[in-house]
Amino acid sequence: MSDTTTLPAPAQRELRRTTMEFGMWVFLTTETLFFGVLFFAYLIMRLRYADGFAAASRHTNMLLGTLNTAVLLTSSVTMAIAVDAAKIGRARLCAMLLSSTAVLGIVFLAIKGYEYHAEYVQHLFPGNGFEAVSVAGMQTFFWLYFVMTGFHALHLLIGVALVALMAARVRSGAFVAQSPASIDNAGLYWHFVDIVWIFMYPALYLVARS
Amino acid sequence: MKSLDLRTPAWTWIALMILLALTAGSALLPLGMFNAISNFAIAVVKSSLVLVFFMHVLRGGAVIRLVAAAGILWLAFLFALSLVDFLARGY
Repeated sequence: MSDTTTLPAPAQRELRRTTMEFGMWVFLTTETLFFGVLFFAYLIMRLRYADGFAAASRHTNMLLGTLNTAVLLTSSVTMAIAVDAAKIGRARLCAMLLSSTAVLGIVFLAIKGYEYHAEYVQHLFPGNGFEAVSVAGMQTFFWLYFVMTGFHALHLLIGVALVALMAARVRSGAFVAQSPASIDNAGLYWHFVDIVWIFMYPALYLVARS
Repeated sequence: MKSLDLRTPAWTWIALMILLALTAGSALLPLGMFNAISNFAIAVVKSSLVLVFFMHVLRGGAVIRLVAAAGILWLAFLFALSLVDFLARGY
């Protein structure tokens, strides 16, 4: 066994960085399977209730869904540049970009919240009051819609908190020079949540628009 | 002050926006089965762009690439085996 404490400081930092990165990727793999189960349930139900899913999907707000996709994709760009800025030690720029990323995340959640409210008012929330019962499977679609987007929103909320915390720490001191690995990892998590949405957008908003 | 590479993120952003417009636009055309196929294919391309240019999966070294590939592989196992079960029951 080699003792890592005898390594020179830069090598120790590098070891710590690669270990943290590895840990984050393993975590994201488990997250892939978590969301994968939801997407599989969606696939089976869509094969079973093709007409119901088509009809139900037309009740979602395509304009807001598309706008939100653009917001989230853009937030990944600011996040990616923030990670690069941290790597070259530009703390102020990094803090500013992290804050922008968090703000874009909040914009996404606000638009999503507005959509939830509109859907609730239109009696699209599954349960006794569900109105659109003309085609079988519509309620199943909306059940999946709320579970999938709800878990995604929860992940994004955690991401916003994480990125806002990073922004505050970067602004307060020499955090960038000491530990860009944490910012790297926050970035990986953020991009993962973005990828989940990239698949949810066509699955929920674009089933039958033509 | 060291300079920042803004070209890669900018080009990736432009590509992502074009793909988003493409998927939203094509969804409005009556293409039958091809609607679902193109929507899914475009989602795969968009995620690949994020994985390669933002998450730097290819630069991460062999272990990172292995973990990422394992995630996708296990997801494929989950889908393939479960789907066989559902289809065999005449779902």
